Amino acid sequence: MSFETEIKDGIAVVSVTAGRLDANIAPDLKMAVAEIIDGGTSRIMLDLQSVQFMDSSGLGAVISSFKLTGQKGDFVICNMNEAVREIFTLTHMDRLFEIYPSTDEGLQKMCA
Amino acid sequence: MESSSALVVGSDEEARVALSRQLDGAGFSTMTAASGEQALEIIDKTGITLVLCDWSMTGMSGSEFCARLRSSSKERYVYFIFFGGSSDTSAQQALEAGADDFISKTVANEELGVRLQSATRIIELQDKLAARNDFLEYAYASVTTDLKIAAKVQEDLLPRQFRLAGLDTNWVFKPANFVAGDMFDYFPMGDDYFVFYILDVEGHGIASALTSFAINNQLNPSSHGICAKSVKHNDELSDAVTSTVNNLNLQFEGNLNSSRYFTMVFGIVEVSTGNVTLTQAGHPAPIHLQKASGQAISLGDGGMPVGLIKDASYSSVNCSLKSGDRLYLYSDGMIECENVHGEFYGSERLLNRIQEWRDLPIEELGDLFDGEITHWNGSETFDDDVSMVILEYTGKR
Repeated sequence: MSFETEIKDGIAVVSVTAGRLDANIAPDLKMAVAEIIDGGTSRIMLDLQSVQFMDSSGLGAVISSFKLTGQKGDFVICNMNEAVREIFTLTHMDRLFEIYPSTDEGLQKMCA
Repeated sequence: MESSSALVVGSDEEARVALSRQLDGAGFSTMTAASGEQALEIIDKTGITLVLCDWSMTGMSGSEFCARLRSSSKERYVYFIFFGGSSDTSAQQALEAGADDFISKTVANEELGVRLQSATRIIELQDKLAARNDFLEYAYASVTTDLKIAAKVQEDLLPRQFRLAGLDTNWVFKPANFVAGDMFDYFPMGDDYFVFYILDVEGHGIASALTSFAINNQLNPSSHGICAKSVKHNDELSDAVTSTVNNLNLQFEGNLNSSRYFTMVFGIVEVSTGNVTLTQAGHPAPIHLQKASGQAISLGDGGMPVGLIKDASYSSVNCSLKSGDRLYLYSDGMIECENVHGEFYGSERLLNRIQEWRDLPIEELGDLFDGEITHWNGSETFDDDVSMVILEYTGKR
């Protein structure tokens, strides 16, 4: 499995366990998030700690997952490495998402 | 039916005849061979697919015969049964030698019948599998032929290299899989302007390529594309470039299949002054190589990709080209190209190379960068589309 999901304080923390978030697993991410939302949890935190590389398909999957939740603040990202952050900066997607350095910090903000 | 024919091989005539009688009784039409050599000839001639061979044969041994049969490439699978011997060791040895089954010399008719049934079933399955493989091979060949034609169509859509009004040009184009989601073009617009763009549709392969064809068509000058309209309706070049990309975004957002989107650089050169205005929509930063100083500068600080966010807004960046200055546009497939050690080509290496080759004529740069990235990649098969456009401002009409 490329993902692990854990519900914490009503928030689904989706950890990408694969090192590359690319075209090979992008469709699975969208499906995993869709299932979580169908299951009744609409607030999601995407943990990218293990992700060393993200390509355009990976980014596309993150954005469409975000679109599924509907609004800013309900889909946050944490633990981005430098390479992934560069993609978010280049595409200005860092302006679209709330991004936190750790899951703890993200959860704190989401629960506040 | 050929699958109900069998060949019994053995130097011991008595055993051979006894077994072939049993086979006849079980409804098989049976041939016999007294040696491995003779058997190989018969199999070649008749294409028989069921062979029963005496484990202890004089002359060419049973296992050698089996090995020779297995090493020759047959159109159909040959099911191979050893008979004779008695101990478990010979059964194991027989299977190791490449046989499918092993029976004792004095096998009861009932047992033989069951073994033959299973042989027939496996031969039929193998035949079906072979037929399916043939079909897949045929389908693959026909898809490949189509893709090669599509690749040619895409190549024909690419602009010509070299001299245009006020600018010299060159490019590199390496699709990952025949056709690319990368696309670029440049063309003069009227006497005063020169339009250029490069785009990269998310993913690669056929679906991305079709999208890139569609976008290319929108921008095509001969179809009164949206960039022509933008230039006509906007006094400021910056408004012309941003409204072009805005229009593309409005047109493609929600229309592209699922999460498909594209990144692009779209720009216009004012030919008389060398002033460039461009929009960087999520695409890697263009590089401006200044002839006089030899410096290579990345332009822009990014921007949202096109077709992803409905209310995305785009801004423009300016730079001024002096005679001999170059502008490099390239896709992420270039800087994210990995060598055998998994190391990216990277933007720093690219910047260095651009500076290093600043005095070489632009005519040579397409081939040089093509060779450079292919060498880095280690083969002609790329994981992602690679494209690069090089513009050199000459200032001369």
